[in-house]
Amino acid sequence: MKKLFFFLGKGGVGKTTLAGSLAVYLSKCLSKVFIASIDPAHNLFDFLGVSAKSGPIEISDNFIAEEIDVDLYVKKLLKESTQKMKKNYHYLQMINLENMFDVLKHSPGMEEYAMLCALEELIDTWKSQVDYIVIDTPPTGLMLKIFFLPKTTLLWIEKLKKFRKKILERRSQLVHIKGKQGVGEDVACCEEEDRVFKELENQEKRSKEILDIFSNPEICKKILVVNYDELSLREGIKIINELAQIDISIDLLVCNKKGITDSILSDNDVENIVDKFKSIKKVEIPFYRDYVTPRNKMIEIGKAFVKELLC
Amino acid sequence: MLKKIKESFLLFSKGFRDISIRAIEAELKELENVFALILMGALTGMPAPPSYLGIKLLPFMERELRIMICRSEALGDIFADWFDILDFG
Repeated sequence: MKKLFFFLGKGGVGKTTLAGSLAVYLSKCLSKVFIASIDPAHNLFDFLGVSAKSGPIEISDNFIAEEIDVDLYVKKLLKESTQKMKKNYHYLQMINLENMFDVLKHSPGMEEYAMLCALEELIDTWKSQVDYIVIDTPPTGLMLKIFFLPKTTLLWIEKLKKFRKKILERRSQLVHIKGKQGVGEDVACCEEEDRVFKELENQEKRSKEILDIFSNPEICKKILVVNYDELSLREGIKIINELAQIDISIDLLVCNKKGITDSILSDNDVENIVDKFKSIKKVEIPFYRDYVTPRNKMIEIGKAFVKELLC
Repeated sequence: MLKKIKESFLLFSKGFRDISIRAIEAELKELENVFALILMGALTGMPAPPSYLGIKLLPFMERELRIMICRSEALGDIFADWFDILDFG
Protein backbone atom coordinates (compact mmCIF):
# COMPACT_ATOMS: atom_id res chain seq x y z
CA MET A 1 0.00 0.00 0.00
CA LYS A 2 1.36 3.37 -1.03
CA LYS A 3 -1.25 5.62 0.54
CA LEU A 4 -4.35 5.54 2.70
CA PHE A 5 -6.87 8.35 2.22
CA PHE A 6 -9.48 9.48 4.73
CA PHE A 7 -12.24 11.87 3.69
CA LEU A 8 -13.50 13.93 6.61
CA GLY A 9 -16.12 16.62 6.93
CA LYS A 10 -19.63 17.57 7.88
CA GLY A 11 -22.50 15.41 6.66
CA GLY A 12 -23.60 16.24 3.12
CA VAL A 13 -20.48 18.15 1.98
CA GLY A 14 -19.64 15.51 -0.65
CA LYS A 15 -17.22 13.10 1.05
CA THR A 16 -18.60 10.07 -0.75
CA THR A 17 -18.57 11.82 -4.13
CA LEU A 18 -14.95 12.92 -3.71
CA ALA A 19 -13.76 9.62 -2.22
CA GLY A 20 -15.47 7.66 -5.00
CA SER A 21 -14.09 10.02 -7.67
CA LEU A 22 -10.54 9.74 -6.35
CA ALA A 23 -10.77 5.94 -6.24
CA VAL A 24 -12.17 5.75 -9.78
CA TYR A 25 -9.53 8.14 -11.13
CA LEU A 26 -6.66 6.25 -9.48
CA SER A 27 -7.96 2.94 -10.82
CA LYS A 28 -8.16 4.44 -14.33
CA CYS A 29 -4.48 5.38 -13.91
CA LEU A 30 -3.83 1.62 -13.60
CA SER A 31 -3.29 1.64 -9.86
CA LYS A 32 -5.00 -1.03 -7.81
CA VAL A 33 -7.51 0.66 -5.51
CA PHE A 34 -9.73 -0.46 -2.66
CA ILE A 35 -12.45 1.87 -1.42
CA ALA A 36 -14.49 1.27 1.71
CA SER A 37 -17.28 3.15 3.39
CA ILE A 38 -17.44 2.88 7.17
CA ASP A 39 -20.36 5.29 7.42
CA PRO A 40 -23.31 3.38 8.95
CA ALA A 41 -25.56 5.33 6.55
CA HIS A 42 -23.77 4.11 3.41
CA ASN A 43 -24.29 5.49 -0.04
CA LEU A 44 -21.00 4.58 -1.69
CA PHE A 45 -22.54 1.87 -3.86
CA ASP A 46 -25.35 4.23 -4.82
CA PHE A 47 -22.76 6.77 -5.97
CA LEU A 48 -20.74 4.16 -7.85
CA GLY A 49 -23.94 2.89 -9.41
CA VAL A 50 -23.65 -0.72 -8.25
CA SER A 51 -26.23 -2.70 -6.33
CA ALA A 52 -25.62 -3.17 -2.61
CA LYS A 53 -24.06 -6.42 -1.51
CA SER A 54 -22.19 -7.51 1.59
CA GLY A 55 -18.44 -7.99 1.33
CA PRO A 56 -16.00 -6.57 -1.21
CA ILE A 57 -17.20 -6.13 -4.80
CA GLU A 58 -14.78 -6.16 -7.72
CA ILE A 59 -15.98 -3.30 -9.89
CA SER A 60 -13.15 -3.63 -12.39
CA ASP A 61 -9.83 -5.50 -12.55
CA ASN A 62 -8.09 -3.04 -10.30
CA PHE A 63 -10.99 -1.47 -8.43
CA ILE A 64 -12.64 -3.04 -5.40
CA ALA A 65 -15.31 -1.46 -3.22
CA GLU A 66 -16.97 -2.42 0.06
CA GLU A 67 -19.60 -1.01 2.36
CA ILE A 68 -18.62 -2.18 5.83
CA ASP A 69 -21.33 -3.66 8.06
CA VAL A 70 -20.40 -2.11 11.40
CA ASP A 71 -22.90 -4.16 13.44
CA LEU A 72 -21.14 -7.31 12.33
CA TYR A 73 -18.01 -6.26 14.24
CA VAL A 74 -19.94 -5.60 17.47
CA LYS A 75 -21.58 -9.02 17.16
CA LYS A 76 -18.19 -10.60 16.46
CA LEU A 77 -16.63 -9.05 19.58
CA LEU A 78 -19.52 -10.15 21.80
CA LYS A 79 -19.51 -13.65 20.34
CA GLU A 80 -15.78 -14.04 20.90
CA SER A 81 -16.07 -12.83 24.48
CA THR A 82 -19.04 -15.10 25.23
CA GLN A 83 -17.13 -18.11 23.90
CA LYS A 84 -14.08 -17.27 26.01
CA MET A 85 -16.28 -16.73 29.06
CA LYS A 86 -17.96 -20.10 28.59
CA LYS A 87 -14.52 -21.66 28.54
CA ASN A 88 -13.10 -19.76 31.51
CA TYR A 89 -15.99 -19.15 33.88
CA HIS A 90 -17.64 -21.56 36.25
CA TYR A 91 -21.07 -22.64 35.03
CA LEU A 92 -23.17 -20.79 37.61
CA GLN A 93 -21.29 -17.51 37.18
CA MET A 94 -21.79 -17.79 33.43
CA ILE A 95 -25.58 -17.98 33.73
CA ASN A 96 -25.69 -14.66 35.56
CA LEU A 97 -23.23 -12.86 33.34
CA GLU A 98 -24.44 -13.79 29.89
CA ASN A 99 -27.40 -11.40 30.12
CA MET A 100 -24.97 -8.52 30.54
CA PHE A 101 -24.20 -8.61 26.82
CA ASP A 102 -27.68 -7.37 25.96
CA VAL A 103 -26.76 -4.18 27.81
CA LEU A 104 -23.13 -4.04 26.70
CA LYS A 105 -23.82 -4.09 22.99
CA HIS A 106 -25.59 -0.74 23.36
CA SER A 107 -22.86 0.73 25.58
CA PRO A 108 -21.36 4.05 24.58
CA GLY A 109 -18.29 3.57 22.44
CA MET A 110 -19.21 0.23 20.89
CA GLU A 111 -19.93 1.77 17.48
CA GLU A 112 -16.55 3.54 17.35
CA TYR A 113 -14.85 0.34 18.41
CA ALA A 114 -16.61 -1.63 15.68
CA MET A 115 -15.52 0.93 13.09
CA LEU A 116 -11.96 0.91 14.34
CA CYS A 117 -11.92 -2.89 14.14
CA ALA A 118 -13.30 -2.68 10.62
CA LEU A 119 -10.56 -0.20 9.68
CA GLU A 120 -7.85 -2.36 11.23
CA GLU A 121 -9.12 -5.44 9.44
CA LEU A 122 -9.49 -3.83 6.04
CA ILE A 123 -6.08 -2.15 6.20
CA ASP A 124 -4.55 -5.45 7.24
CA THR A 125 -6.33 -7.38 4.49
CA TRP A 126 -5.75 -4.96 1.62
CA LYS A 127 -2.41 -3.31 2.33
CA SER A 128 -0.46 -6.02 0.53
CA GLN A 129 -2.96 -6.34 -2.35
CA VAL A 130 -3.59 -2.76 -3.48
CA ASP A 131 -1.72 0.48 -4.11
CA TYR A 132 -4.28 2.81 -2.55
CA ILE A 133 -6.95 2.45 0.11
CA VAL A 134 -9.66 5.13 0.18
CA ILE A 135 -11.93 5.45 3.21
CA ASP A 136 -15.26 7.23 3.10
CA THR A 137 -15.97 8.13 6.70
CA PRO A 138 -19.06 8.93 8.76
CA PRO A 139 -19.71 12.61 9.59
CA THR A 140 -17.43 14.53 11.96
CA GLY A 141 -18.60 13.52 15.46
CA LEU A 142 -18.26 9.81 14.96
CA MET A 143 -15.09 10.00 12.90
CA LEU A 144 -13.32 12.13 15.50
CA LYS A 145 -14.22 9.54 18.13
CA ILE A 146 -12.65 6.85 15.93
CA PHE A 147 -9.43 8.85 15.61
CA PHE A 148 -9.37 9.49 19.36
CA LEU A 149 -10.18 5.93 20.44
CA PRO A 150 -6.65 4.43 20.16
CA LYS A 151 -5.17 7.35 22.10
CA THR A 152 -7.85 7.16 24.83
CA THR A 153 -7.41 3.41 25.01
CA LEU A 154 -3.65 3.80 25.43
CA LEU A 155 -4.12 6.25 28.31
CA TRP A 156 -6.48 3.84 30.06
CA ILE A 157 -4.25 0.84 29.42
CA GLU A 158 -1.28 2.65 30.95
CA LYS A 159 -3.25 3.23 34.18
CA LEU A 160 -4.82 -0.23 34.19
CA LYS A 161 -1.43 -1.90 33.73
CA LYS A 162 -0.05 -0.01 36.75
CA PHE A 163 -3.09 -1.05 38.76
CA ARG A 164 -2.77 -4.66 37.66
CA LYS A 165 0.92 -4.73 38.56
CA LYS A 166 -0.01 -3.67 42.09
CA ILE A 167 -2.55 -6.52 42.31
CA LEU A 168 0.03 -9.02 41.07
CA GLU A 169 2.57 -7.67 43.55
CA ARG A 170 0.17 -8.23 46.49
CA ARG A 171 -0.71 -11.70 45.24
CA SER A 172 2.94 -12.65 44.99
CA GLN A 173 3.56 -11.32 48.53
CA LEU A 174 0.79 -13.58 49.81
CA VAL A 175 2.16 -16.56 47.91
CA HIS A 176 5.57 -15.84 49.41
CA ILE A 177 4.11 -15.87 52.94
CA LYS A 178 1.38 -18.50 52.73
CA GLY A 179 2.22 -20.49 49.64
CA LYS A 180 0.02 -20.91 46.56
CA GLN A 181 -3.09 -21.64 48.66
CA GLY A 182 -2.79 -18.06 49.98
CA VAL A 183 -4.42 -16.75 46.80
CA GLY A 184 -5.75 -19.90 45.16
CA GLU A 185 -4.17 -22.54 42.97
CA ASP A 186 -5.16 -21.12 39.56
CA VAL A 187 -4.60 -17.47 40.39
CA ALA A 188 -1.80 -15.75 38.46
CA CYS A 189 0.84 -13.91 40.47
CA CYS A 190 3.15 -12.53 37.80
CA GLU A 191 2.74 -10.59 34.55
CA GLU A 192 3.72 -13.56 32.37
CA GLU A 193 0.99 -15.78 33.84
CA ASP A 194 -1.76 -13.18 34.15
CA ARG A 195 -4.18 -13.30 31.23
CA VAL A 196 -5.67 -9.92 32.10
CA PHE A 197 -2.22 -8.33 31.90
CA LYS A 198 -1.49 -10.14 28.65
CA GLU A 199 -4.76 -8.94 27.13
CA LEU A 200 -3.95 -5.38 28.21
CA GLU A 201 -0.57 -5.67 26.46
CA ASN A 202 -2.25 -7.12 23.39
CA GLN A 203 -4.73 -4.23 23.22
CA GLU A 204 -1.89 -1.78 23.83
CA LYS A 205 -0.02 -3.18 20.83
CA ARG A 206 -3.12 -2.96 18.60
CA SER A 207 -3.86 0.61 19.63
CA LYS A 208 -0.25 1.69 19.03
CA GLU A 209 -0.25 0.10 15.58
CA ILE A 210 -3.42 1.85 14.44
CA LEU A 211 -2.32 5.16 15.97
CA ASP A 212 0.98 4.86 14.10
CA ILE A 213 -0.92 4.45 10.84
CA PHE A 214 -3.22 7.42 11.60
CA SER A 215 -0.34 9.72 12.44
CA ASN A 216 2.04 8.67 9.66
CA PRO A 217 1.99 11.65 7.27
CA GLU A 218 3.71 9.70 4.47
CA ILE A 219 1.11 6.94 4.29
CA CYS A 220 -2.07 8.32 5.77
CA LYS A 221 -3.57 11.36 4.06
CA LYS A 222 -6.50 13.17 5.62
CA ILE A 223 -8.66 15.18 3.23
CA LEU A 224 -11.03 17.68 4.76
CA VAL A 225 -14.08 18.39 2.62
CA VAL A 226 -15.98 21.64 3.12
CA ASN A 227 -18.55 23.66 1.23
CA TYR A 228 -18.65 27.43 1.07
CA ASP A 229 -21.18 27.68 3.83
CA GLU A 230 -20.57 28.84 7.34
CA LEU A 231 -21.56 25.66 9.17
CA SER A 232 -19.38 23.28 7.17
CA LEU A 233 -16.43 25.70 7.39
CA ARG A 234 -16.81 26.08 11.14
CA GLU A 235 -17.02 22.31 11.50
CA GLY A 236 -13.89 22.04 9.36
CA ILE A 237 -12.01 24.25 11.80
CA LYS A 238 -13.28 22.13 14.67
CA ILE A 239 -11.94 18.98 12.95
CA ILE A 240 -8.51 20.59 12.43
CA ASN A 241 -8.31 21.74 16.07
CA GLU A 242 -9.51 18.44 17.50
CA LEU A 243 -7.13 16.34 15.41
CA ALA A 244 -4.23 18.63 16.35
CA GLN A 245 -4.70 17.46 19.95
CA ILE A 246 -3.54 14.00 18.90
CA ASP A 247 -0.89 15.33 16.49
CA ILE A 248 -2.85 14.50 13.36
CA SER A 249 -2.90 17.14 10.65
CA ILE A 250 -5.05 17.70 7.58
CA ASP A 251 -3.16 17.21 4.30
CA LEU A 252 -5.61 18.74 1.85
CA LEU A 253 -8.64 20.99 2.02
CA VAL A 254 -11.18 20.38 -0.71
CA CYS A 255 -13.73 23.16 -1.11
CA ASN A 256 -16.52 21.30 -2.83
CA LYS A 257 -19.51 22.62 -4.75
CA LYS A 258 -17.91 25.99 -5.47
CA GLY A 259 -20.45 28.34 -7.03
CA ILE A 260 -23.51 26.72 -5.49
CA THR A 261 -24.46 30.30 -4.57
CA ASP A 262 -22.91 33.46 -5.97
CA SER A 263 -23.06 35.72 -2.97
CA ILE A 264 -21.72 33.57 -0.16
CA LEU A 265 -18.11 34.79 -0.14
CA SER A 266 -19.15 38.39 0.30
CA ASP A 267 -20.16 37.50 3.83
CA ASN A 268 -17.33 38.74 6.08
CA ASP A 269 -17.74 35.94 8.59
CA VAL A 270 -17.22 33.28 5.95
CA GLU A 271 -14.22 35.07 4.51
CA ASN A 272 -12.69 35.21 7.99
CA ILE A 273 -13.23 31.49 8.45
CA VAL A 274 -11.67 30.72 5.05
CA ASP A 275 -8.60 32.72 6.17
CA LYS A 276 -8.06 30.22 8.99
CA PHE A 277 -7.43 27.46 6.44
CA LYS A 278 -4.61 29.39 4.76
CA SER A 279 -1.82 27.07 5.90
CA ILE A 280 -3.43 24.01 4.28
CA LYS A 281 -3.18 23.13 0.59
CA LYS A 282 -6.52 23.89 -1.04
CA VAL A 283 -8.36 22.57 -4.08
CA GLU A 284 -11.71 23.80 -5.33
CA ILE A 285 -14.26 21.56 -7.03
CA PRO A 286 -17.07 23.31 -8.90
CA PHE A 287 -20.74 22.71 -8.33
CA TYR A 288 -22.08 20.76 -11.29
CA ARG A 289 -25.46 22.34 -11.80
CA ASP A 290 -26.53 19.95 -14.55
CA TYR A 291 -26.10 16.78 -12.51
CA VAL A 292 -28.01 15.49 -9.50
CA THR A 293 -25.11 13.09 -8.85
CA PRO A 294 -21.98 13.99 -10.82
CA ARG A 295 -21.24 10.34 -11.59
CA ASN A 296 -19.92 10.98 -15.09
CA LYS A 297 -17.64 13.71 -13.75
CA MET A 298 -15.77 11.28 -11.47
CA ILE A 299 -12.56 11.26 -13.49
CA GLU A 300 -12.59 15.05 -13.76
CA ILE A 301 -13.19 15.47 -10.01
CA GLY A 302 -10.56 12.86 -9.03
CA LYS A 303 -8.01 14.39 -11.37
CA ALA A 304 -8.60 17.84 -9.89
CA PHE A 305 -7.15 16.99 -6.53
CA VAL A 306 -5.07 13.84 -6.94
CA LYS A 307 -1.98 15.82 -7.92
CA GLU A 308 -2.01 17.81 -4.68
CA LEU A 309 -2.41 14.61 -2.70
CA LEU A 310 0.32 12.56 -4.28
CA CYS A 311 3.01 15.18 -4.68
CA MET B 1 11.05 -17.26 83.02
CA LEU B 2 13.11 -16.44 79.94
CA LYS B 3 11.36 -19.20 78.08
CA LYS B 4 7.98 -17.70 79.00
CA ILE B 5 9.10 -14.22 77.83
CA LYS B 6 10.36 -15.74 74.57
CA GLU B 7 7.06 -17.57 74.10
CA SER B 8 5.13 -14.34 74.73
CA PHE B 9 7.27 -12.50 72.17
CA LEU B 10 6.72 -15.27 69.67
CA LEU B 11 3.00 -15.08 70.35
CA PHE B 12 3.00 -11.32 69.86
CA SER B 13 5.09 -11.71 66.72
CA LYS B 14 2.68 -14.29 65.32
CA GLY B 15 -0.28 -12.06 66.19
CA PHE B 16 1.25 -9.04 64.41
CA ARG B 17 2.20 -11.21 61.47
CA ASP B 18 -1.38 -12.50 61.18
CA ILE B 19 -2.74 -8.96 61.31
CA SER B 20 -0.27 -7.87 58.57
CA ILE B 21 -1.22 -10.83 56.37
CA ARG B 22 -4.92 -10.05 56.84
CA ALA B 23 -4.24 -6.43 55.91
CA ILE B 24 -2.46 -7.50 52.70
CA GLU B 25 -5.33 -9.91 51.94
CA ALA B 26 -7.87 -7.16 52.51
CA GLU B 27 -5.88 -4.71 50.37
CA LEU B 28 -5.63 -7.28 47.58
CA LYS B 29 -9.39 -7.89 47.69
CA GLU B 30 -10.02 -4.16 47.61
CA LEU B 31 -7.66 -3.68 44.64
CA GLU B 32 -9.30 -6.54 42.74
CA ASN B 33 -12.74 -5.14 43.57
CA VAL B 34 -11.79 -1.66 42.34
CA PHE B 35 -10.16 -3.09 39.19
CA ALA B 36 -13.43 -4.83 38.29
CA LEU B 37 -15.42 -1.73 39.24
CA ILE B 38 -13.30 0.46 36.96
CA LEU B 39 -13.76 -1.89 34.03
CA MET B 40 -17.50 -2.10 34.64
CA GLY B 41 -17.64 1.66 35.25
CA ALA B 42 -19.87 2.28 32.24
CA LEU B 43 -22.57 0.21 33.94
CA THR B 44 -22.25 1.98 37.28
CA GLY B 45 -21.94 5.54 36.01
CA MET B 46 -18.27 6.02 36.84
CA PRO B 47 -15.58 7.27 34.43
CA ALA B 48 -14.72 4.13 32.54
CA PRO B 49 -12.28 2.88 29.92
CA PRO B 50 -13.71 2.23 26.45
CA SER B 51 -16.44 -0.41 26.80
CA TYR B 52 -14.74 -2.80 24.41
CA LEU B 53 -11.69 -2.97 26.68
CA GLY B 54 -13.93 -4.18 29.49
CA ILE B 55 -15.50 -6.77 27.19
CA LYS B 56 -12.07 -7.97 26.03
CA LEU B 57 -10.92 -8.44 29.63
CA LEU B 58 -14.20 -9.87 30.92
CA PRO B 59 -13.44 -13.51 30.03
CA PHE B 60 -10.44 -13.48 32.37
CA MET B 61 -12.01 -11.68 35.30
CA GLU B 62 -14.20 -14.22 37.05
CA ARG B 63 -12.28 -13.91 40.33
CA GLU B 64 -12.41 -10.10 40.34
CA LEU B 65 -16.11 -10.05 39.49
CA ARG B 66 -16.89 -12.50 42.26
CA ILE B 67 -14.97 -10.32 44.71
CA MET B 68 -16.74 -7.22 43.42
CA ILE B 69 -20.17 -8.82 43.95
CA CYS B 70 -19.21 -9.99 47.49
CA ARG B 71 -17.83 -6.57 48.35
CA SER B 72 -20.91 -4.76 47.10
CA GLU B 73 -23.08 -7.06 49.22
CA ALA B 74 -21.02 -6.10 52.30
CA LEU B 75 -21.02 -2.38 51.52
CA GLY B 76 -23.66 -1.69 54.18
CA ASP B 77 -21.25 -2.75 56.90
CA ILE B 78 -17.91 -1.56 55.59
CA PHE B 79 -16.67 -0.23 58.96
CA ALA B 80 -17.20 -3.61 60.63
CA ASP B 81 -15.17 -5.10 57.85
CA TRP B 82 -12.25 -2.75 58.41
CA PHE B 83 -12.43 -2.95 62.22
CA ASP B 84 -12.22 -6.70 61.84
CA ILE B 85 -9.10 -6.40 59.67
CA LEU B 86 -7.42 -3.99 62.06
CA ASP B 87 -8.54 -6.10 65.02
CA PHE B 88 -10.17 -3.26 66.96
CA GLY B 89 -12.56 -4.01 69.81
